Amino acid sequence: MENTTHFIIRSIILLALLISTSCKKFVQVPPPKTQTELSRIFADDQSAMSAATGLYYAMQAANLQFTSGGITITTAHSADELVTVIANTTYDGFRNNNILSDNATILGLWNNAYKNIYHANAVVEGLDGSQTLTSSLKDQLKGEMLYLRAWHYFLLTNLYGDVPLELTTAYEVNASMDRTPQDEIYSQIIADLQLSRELLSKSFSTSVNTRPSSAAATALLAKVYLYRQQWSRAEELATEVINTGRYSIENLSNVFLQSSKETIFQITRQSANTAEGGSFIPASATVLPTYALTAYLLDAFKLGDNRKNNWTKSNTVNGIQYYYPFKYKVRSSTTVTEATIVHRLGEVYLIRAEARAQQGKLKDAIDDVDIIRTRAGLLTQLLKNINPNISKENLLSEIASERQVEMFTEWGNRWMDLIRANQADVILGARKAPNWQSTDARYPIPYNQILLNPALTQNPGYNF
Amino acid sequence: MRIPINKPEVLFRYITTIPMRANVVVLVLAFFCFLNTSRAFGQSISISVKKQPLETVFRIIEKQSGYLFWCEKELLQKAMPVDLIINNATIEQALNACLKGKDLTYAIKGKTIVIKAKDKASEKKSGNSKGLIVTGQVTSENATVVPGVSIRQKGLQRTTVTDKEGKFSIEVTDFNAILQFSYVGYELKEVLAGNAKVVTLTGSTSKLDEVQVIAYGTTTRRLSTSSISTVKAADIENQPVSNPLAALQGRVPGLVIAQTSGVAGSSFKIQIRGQSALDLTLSKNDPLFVIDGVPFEPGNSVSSQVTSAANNPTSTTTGGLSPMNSINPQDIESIDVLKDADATSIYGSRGANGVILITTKKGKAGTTKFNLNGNTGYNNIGRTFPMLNTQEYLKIRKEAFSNDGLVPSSNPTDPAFAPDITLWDNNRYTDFQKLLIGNTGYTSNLQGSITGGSEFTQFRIGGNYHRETSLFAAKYTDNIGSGNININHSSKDKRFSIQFAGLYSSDKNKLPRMDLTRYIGMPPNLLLYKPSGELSWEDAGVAYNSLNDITNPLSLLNTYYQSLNENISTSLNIGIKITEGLNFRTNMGYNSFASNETSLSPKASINPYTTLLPSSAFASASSRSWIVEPQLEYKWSKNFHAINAIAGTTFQNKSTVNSRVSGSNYASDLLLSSISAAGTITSSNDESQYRYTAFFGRINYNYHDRYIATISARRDGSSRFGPDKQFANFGSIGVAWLFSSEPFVKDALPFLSFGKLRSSYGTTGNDQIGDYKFLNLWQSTTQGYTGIPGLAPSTLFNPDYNWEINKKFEVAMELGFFNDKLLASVAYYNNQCNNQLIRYVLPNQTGFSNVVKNFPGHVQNSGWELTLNSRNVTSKNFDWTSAFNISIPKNKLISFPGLSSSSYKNKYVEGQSLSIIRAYHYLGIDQNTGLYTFEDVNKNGEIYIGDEQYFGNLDPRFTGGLQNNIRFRQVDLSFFFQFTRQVGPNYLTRLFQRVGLMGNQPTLVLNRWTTPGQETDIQKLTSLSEGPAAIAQGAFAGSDAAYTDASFIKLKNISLGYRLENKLISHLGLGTVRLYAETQNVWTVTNYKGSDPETKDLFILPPLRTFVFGAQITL
Repeated sequence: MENTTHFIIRSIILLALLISTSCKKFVQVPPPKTQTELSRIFADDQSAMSAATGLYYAMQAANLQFTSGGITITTAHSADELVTVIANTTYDGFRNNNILSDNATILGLWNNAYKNIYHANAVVEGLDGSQTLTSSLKDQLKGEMLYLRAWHYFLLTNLYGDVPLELTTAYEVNASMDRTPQDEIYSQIIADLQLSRELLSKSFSTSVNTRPSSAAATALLAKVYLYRQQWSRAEELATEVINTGRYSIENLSNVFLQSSKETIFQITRQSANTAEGGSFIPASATVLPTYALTAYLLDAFKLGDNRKNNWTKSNTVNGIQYYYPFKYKVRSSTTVTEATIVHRLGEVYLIRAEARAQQGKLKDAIDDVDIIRTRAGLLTQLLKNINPNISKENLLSEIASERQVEMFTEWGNRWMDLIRANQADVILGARKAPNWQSTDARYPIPYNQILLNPALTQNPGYNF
Repeated sequence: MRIPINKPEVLFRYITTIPMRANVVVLVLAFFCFLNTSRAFGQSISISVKKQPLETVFRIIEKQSGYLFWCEKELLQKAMPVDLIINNATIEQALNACLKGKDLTYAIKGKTIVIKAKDKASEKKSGNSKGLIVTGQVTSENATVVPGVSIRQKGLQRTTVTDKEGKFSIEVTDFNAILQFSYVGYELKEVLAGNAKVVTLTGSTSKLDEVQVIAYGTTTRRLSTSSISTVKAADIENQPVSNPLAALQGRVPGLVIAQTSGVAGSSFKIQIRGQSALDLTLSKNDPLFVIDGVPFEPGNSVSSQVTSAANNPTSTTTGGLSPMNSINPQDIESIDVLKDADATSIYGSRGANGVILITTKKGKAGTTKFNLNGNTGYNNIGRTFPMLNTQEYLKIRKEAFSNDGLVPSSNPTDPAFAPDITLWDNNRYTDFQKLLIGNTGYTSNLQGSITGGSEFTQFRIGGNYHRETSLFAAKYTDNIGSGNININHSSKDKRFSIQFAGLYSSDKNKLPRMDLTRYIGMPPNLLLYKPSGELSWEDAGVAYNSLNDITNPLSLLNTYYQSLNENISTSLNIGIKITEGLNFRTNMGYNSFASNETSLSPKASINPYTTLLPSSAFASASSRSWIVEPQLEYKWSKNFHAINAIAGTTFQNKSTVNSRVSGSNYASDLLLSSISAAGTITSSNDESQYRYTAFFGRINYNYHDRYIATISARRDGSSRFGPDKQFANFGSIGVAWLFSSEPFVKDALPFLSFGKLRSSYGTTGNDQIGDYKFLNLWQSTTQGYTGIPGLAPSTLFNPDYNWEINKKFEVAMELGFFNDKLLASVAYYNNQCNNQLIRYVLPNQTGFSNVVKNFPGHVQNSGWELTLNSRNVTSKNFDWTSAFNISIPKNKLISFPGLSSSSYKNKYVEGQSLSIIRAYHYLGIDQNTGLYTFEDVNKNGEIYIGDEQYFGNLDPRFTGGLQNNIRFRQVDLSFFFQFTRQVGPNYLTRLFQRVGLMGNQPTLVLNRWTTPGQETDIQKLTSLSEGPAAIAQGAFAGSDAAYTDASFIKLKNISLGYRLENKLISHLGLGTVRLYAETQNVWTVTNYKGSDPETKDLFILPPLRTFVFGAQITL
């Protein structure tokens, strides 16, 4: 009996020892081979590159997401550019400026933007924490990520107003963050773009426009300063982009090609053309396009403006002519010839024109506008000829009209231009009556996000 | 006084008074081992003596007869010498002659003759303090000694117990005293004290003594301290089902099982004692499945990755194929469901949701037996829900338009476009329910096994083939082939033993790509075939794909889905006896489950009016797991004390590999099965590894079979947790008091044959949350960007989450009446789960919508479970037994910190069940507008966010079953009722935007509102998908009116068998032959509005009614 007890006690002790030493190791499994751990990604140039590249993939993977046509299509409905003509209610709230805060599209845009921002933040953190990466690559990738983050916040704040400014991946902190004032967001955007410009100018091949270059960061910064009404800074940066000499004004039919020389930054797809082309262009010449351009836009084209012929197209169904955007000309094809363009030289000229006009440099501004008009075939409408002594106010108005017809259905330019120029109430108030209210200029914060984070507040004008 | 013991020549067992120190005189009965018991004796006795002492005469009788005499020496000495001449007398005659005229009498008990003084004397003896010591030995039927048997004289308190050799000695008042021998697993035996030299116990037939399998061992219902329910082969075999889970429905209190679909091989929802998980997307609340000691890794998770008819049409993520379908129910000896902490704590982190132990059939020593069992039959849909015919349908449609002030139009751009009314044949009628799911499927099953072996080696080899055709079309078949081998061996000295169990099965299940039941709502005048006989995709120039949700459902019969599941499950158990009572065992097991799926959509299944081209999908998944569990077991018993201790470790490794490839844009059907022929290919794969280790121990202490305690403890380590969080401790204690063994209870309540009070408390854990959630993982993006591969973060990660620990309490009373003819048990349980792992929902500004996190939400599951088992009649020709169980569960969210600001705000309410119904409150039909009205809680004039209220919950109020087994001569009949009281969503939830739109409806909509004052639950019809009527219709589907009573009683199973007369079949050389008929899902009694209250969805194939006829032959 005693022996047995001893035996048992000895065995148990032995087993316990065995467990404590070997079991700790036993339950430590390596990470799965089909996924990889963050710490390992940023140990190596190739995988760090992939981590950053993954964000570009995410930005274009699905149609009509935040950076794949989603903003274009919603804001074009909210403003006076597009209407849905088939029986599809997805964008009715936008068209009628009565979006409910539980609108699925609103939520989708929001979620998509913040997912991309998380990705950018994660890569920035990974790059900052790595000691082993080639420094030029580190600079390039960080520059790209800062550009993308700034760009996302620029779009977010112009859609939703104040939004939480998440700059790290710390979800415990981020989860309860309230809305950051727009001024603060812009400060961060400017800081990010300044740094991005610097990092990218040092390191990145200038011949690639499928990733943001220093010029792309500069172009976006010029736009930001324009929106912030820092005219001289805007002009200075726009000039910087123009003076690189890398980009030139293309003829109209080539502007939206992948090979366009005008493109500063474009987001391409590996095996498909653009979401815009796929969404706007109808399946055949006889069917209703899903979305039709409004008479407001069509009427804004001056007589002889080649952009109307080249950048819009129409189908006639039951005797009614429906125009649709035709900037991107491929609906679907396995040969990829088009990519979604984010920044192009044409817009930079218009940014500079506006910035110059605001500073009273009217002559210089006219030159910039005329470059765009020339390309549009409006040789008879060149300001230097028809109205060289135009007043500042009138010139600004001409520039605004030029932006309307040059930048239509691109990234919400029309919508944001109206709002930043305080023209939304005037123009949309008239065109969208009786639905329009001043508060419609801001999209609602998604309802379920307010439920999830009570620190978020709703924009004025929304019930819940 | 000398006692002549140990002298073989002295044949008398003298009973002598011995003066004790305390002046107590004890009569001692000397006991001898008999050497000559095998000697043959003559039956008759012949004696011729003169003036001989009685003792001498008795010796002579002993020699001649083989009887033994027991007598007090004093009595013999007092007796006068005898003169006797007898010839060929019987023993009684001889004794009568001997004792004639003496104050002595005798009693013959077995081979013993007890001589005693006549009544006067014995009365006197029982009154004084004198006692007799009786010694003897207890053996079992197969002649092995039984230690630990409790012995007491009936009516007295004093109890003794047999030693290691089965020997005992007990003090009795006299030889007529009745000794009660009781030992667990054996029938109570009553023996006269005088006959107690060698007592043979027979095995118990009481249900209380049936073996129950527990973690790392076995017990019985009588001695168990924990909550275990056992379903035996007898109840499983009678059911014509291919999935063992189907065989458990309604039979185990606390276990709720619901079939998700009637499609062959489809999965089951299982819950033991309610939902504890707040987040079912992370941990599914499924119990752990263990087959012959080896975890069955796929468990109750769905094996399919590709959508098929087994999936729920409303969501591809629910439903699917059940891996358990590859376990052949006919191979199962028993299924033990472990419910409380005492039973499951030893499974540590894996036992939080209960454990289901499956034990396969084993070989038996004896003659080699062949068993053949074959049956064949058919299945069809049990309960249908009548739908409108064309005439009624068109009437409803037209009325909807006229209510809206519209005229049905044939113009596609007209809002009132209604081709079914204006363009299509108004007389064509297809009963889609009948066409799509009204057919019959056929089923056949063939099972064979060979069992046999010797005392040291037993084996069983079995095989099974099951084939089932779908009622959709005969080409869709489910073929399951399986084989199993069981071998047990022990060395001659029984010091070494080895057991091997191996199961292999292959389940090839062919299905349509979608459940055709989904399409029973097609317009009844839909054109299905062109005049040429081809499937039609348009009618009168209207293409079906231009209409919402309209298709030609018959095209699905051109789709093809196949799942091939292969399961290998083996276990090897080696035991070595180190010393007496100490055994070393190692349990080793390997389980491999592989699933291969193919889904093809050829041209013929695709609407030619779309640009879609043929497509395919392939998926494979395999999980391999091994487990090694070395254990030491120690058994010790002395007097009334018995200890059974076990200590062991577990090492388990599981690796899973999955891949999915889908191809689209095939040029033709030719190479549809070849992925390389696809125009576009997308693929993904993933793999994971799970490691698990533990050190566990359990001590069971049993005093006198009256007081029993079990303590178990386990230290677990799991790879699913981050560094420093990998280990956790679990433990439990269970106690039982068998009060019926207390003499005072025995004597006071003689009708109470068994009474036990038991209770347990302990902890179990949960690591069923998937792998690697604590790592910051990135995965490859589907495609790259400009040729550079991409990586994207998989999820948010949380390195800090910790074990989820559940606390379980149970108290139960188990009673047996009238010799265990009626057994009853009542159990109350209370389980607390309050540090749950959930996918904590985060605002998306964090980049993701959730993160795995411990959350202090506190869920309580409590309830009552009652079981009754009765042997109503037991006789030679007629047996009738019944079993009844009922469970009354209650689920409650005790607390949820920050609920109002969390994403669960609209899902849960503190103090209510987790399955609470959140809906608008329906107020009836507005008799002016004819539209549904609801309570506008926030008084903002519209029924929308903010107007929801809470109405009861979807938990079953009670569930249970009633089994009856009747045998009359050769005929056996068993039938089983399953019942549930519950509330569920009915067909009205699926009417959302349907009434009045194109699409058929149940005939109940004929009772729609038409005139003010009408009482109905169908509002005024509308053809519009916008406007107040459509909004009201939408709100109605989300209102409390769409939830109604879904209670049911199902006659789940009937089995009728006839055992052929022995004479007839022995003539044919057969052992036994039984012919039988079995039927499943026979009949449902319910008020439920919908096809089946179990699946609760009009558009899912309900569980099928099966009927089979077969024969079972044993050679």
